Amino acid sequence: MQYYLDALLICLQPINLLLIVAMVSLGIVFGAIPGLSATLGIALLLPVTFGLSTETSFVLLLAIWIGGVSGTFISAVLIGIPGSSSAIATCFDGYPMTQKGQANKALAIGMTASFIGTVVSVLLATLLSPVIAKFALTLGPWEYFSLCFCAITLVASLSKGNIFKGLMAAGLGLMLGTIGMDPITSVQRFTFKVSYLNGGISTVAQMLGMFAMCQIIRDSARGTAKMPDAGSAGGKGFGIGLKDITDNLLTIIVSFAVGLWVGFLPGMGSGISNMVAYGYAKSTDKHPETFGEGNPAGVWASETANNASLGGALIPMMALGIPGDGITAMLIAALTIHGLQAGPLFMTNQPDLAMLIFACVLVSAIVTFVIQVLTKRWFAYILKIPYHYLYATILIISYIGGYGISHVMFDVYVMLALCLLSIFMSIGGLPTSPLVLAFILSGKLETYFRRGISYAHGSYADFFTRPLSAILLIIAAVCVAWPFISDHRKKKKAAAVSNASSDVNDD
Amino acid sequence: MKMKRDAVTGIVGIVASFIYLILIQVQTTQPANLLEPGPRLFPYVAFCVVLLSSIMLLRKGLVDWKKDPKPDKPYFPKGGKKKITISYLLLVLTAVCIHVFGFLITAPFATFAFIYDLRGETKLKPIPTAIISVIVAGALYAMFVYGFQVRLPAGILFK
Repeated sequence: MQYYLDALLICLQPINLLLIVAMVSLGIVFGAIPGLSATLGIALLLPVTFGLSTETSFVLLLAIWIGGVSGTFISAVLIGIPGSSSAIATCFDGYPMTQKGQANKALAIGMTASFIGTVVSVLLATLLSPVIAKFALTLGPWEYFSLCFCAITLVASLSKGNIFKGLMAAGLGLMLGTIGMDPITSVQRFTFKVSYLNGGISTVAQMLGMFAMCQIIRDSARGTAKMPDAGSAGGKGFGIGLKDITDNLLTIIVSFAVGLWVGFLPGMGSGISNMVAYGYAKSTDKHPETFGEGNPAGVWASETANNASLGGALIPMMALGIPGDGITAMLIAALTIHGLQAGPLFMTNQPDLAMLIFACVLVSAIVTFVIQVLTKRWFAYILKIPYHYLYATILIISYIGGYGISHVMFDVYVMLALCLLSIFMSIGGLPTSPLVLAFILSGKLETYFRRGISYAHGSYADFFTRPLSAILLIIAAVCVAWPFISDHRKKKKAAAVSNASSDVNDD
Repeated sequence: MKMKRDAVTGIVGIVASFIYLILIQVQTTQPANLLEPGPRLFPYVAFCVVLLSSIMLLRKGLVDWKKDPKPDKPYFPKGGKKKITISYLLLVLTAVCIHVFGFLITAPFATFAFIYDLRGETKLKPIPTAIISVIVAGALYAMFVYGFQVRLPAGILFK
């Protein structure tokens, strides 16, 4: 406790607080602009920290991380393009809310959900880190595979219109995910002797091509390219009241638990948790048909989960030295730069620095919320920029984003190819989210599956005999079967009603 | 008579999955004596998922077609196909120009072209639009290159 209080005092020193405010603001900008991200922000800041003290370095990096992850909802809500993969599900209902003139409410939900998700998850991470880390050691590739599989089937089965469209999109995602070196034996697959494809398709190129570019030119061609109602976007007041929170309390709690858990699992992160939480919120809601049309519960679920993942990702990073996602991998790299080794010994040998990390995340989350509340009315100004100027700028930024991560033009061409694929998918009525999820998870799905079999000397039985793995697989099977069962029940009910009415007519 | 969109998507999916199956044979190898299923397993899984879902989608499209032979509402309004083709070609042309001439030279022209392409019914004056394009492109270049230290393509002509 003493270490934690000392760490809080370090964060609250004027110079550190000023740095946190500056980095959180920069992080929000990075998160809000599609193509930029907290990951890029940390990558750009890493060289800057070489000459700084360990404490100051972590204050900078953690503040930009928190601001960056929280800021992603802004563009998702206002222009329907996620700032990063952690806000994909936020677009599904956040943007329709803006189109209905409820941008102020959607932004307030995003801010509050982000705040709740981060603060509570980091407090829990601080308290439970050692205990939960012990449990994680008992999980094997079987459980991780089943979790990934469950996530894909959950999203595919809840696709709009038809489950086969969702499954087909997920299959296409798996196809794209198999490009590059195979994760176990490093055999090249579908690389066509192009060395740039050895590492697979860039996630940034995929996201920018399929979301930013495709959406902009498709909407323009369909004649639906216009900015949402800006007048109501900058509405007065905070946008939501206590009743909004209590009405969605169950969604918030469940999404928080999902986010914390998914974030905690090594290799997962906020990019997956928001989709899983959204899928869960949709499947348990009394009116699932309203999801995708501006249901506030969708924004609550997505934003609570992706920010809860931050605290969850901190646990394996701090206690096991395993990154929860790409960003925590960079933070581990930053620790190494400063001569520190994340892992079980880190918390006992360096409790002051370990507690500083937890305290800095907490302070950054509070600062993020305050900055967002104070500047919320200016978020909506993005809506007042004429469509053609704003989106032309986003298209140019997409080229920068596509090139900026790997510094090769090949990724820009891949981005354009995926934009074309996304256009054809839209014409065919195939949803994008199952493809994105399957693509992101494909590497892990394959690694865990093959490792599981390899560890069990060629046996598949452990996937079904290990309790947690079996439960997750049962959930996945129910997800796929449920639309058919539900359809069958509806038909049976309709037949019964028509029989009853014809009996009445006969009488 | 025009087929339903689901049926067409199903047919395209079936064709795509078989092309992918051929590519699995050509573009992947299976090392011998592995304790696990090997690198070809997941491509086969992806093939099966796409093929089966395409068949089911084709079936659904044909059943719907039988019930109601009226064609689906077109996805794009009149002139939409031409517009999206032009927009996409503009994106490709921009990428090629960035590759050849670099970001700094291409960006102002590309911004100008994108603004005109996305303007819809809005009437624009060329000179203010050109000035805005130069300012936007210059600001983005300065922000990324000098502010965020992100390297941008210099163009193969100037390397």
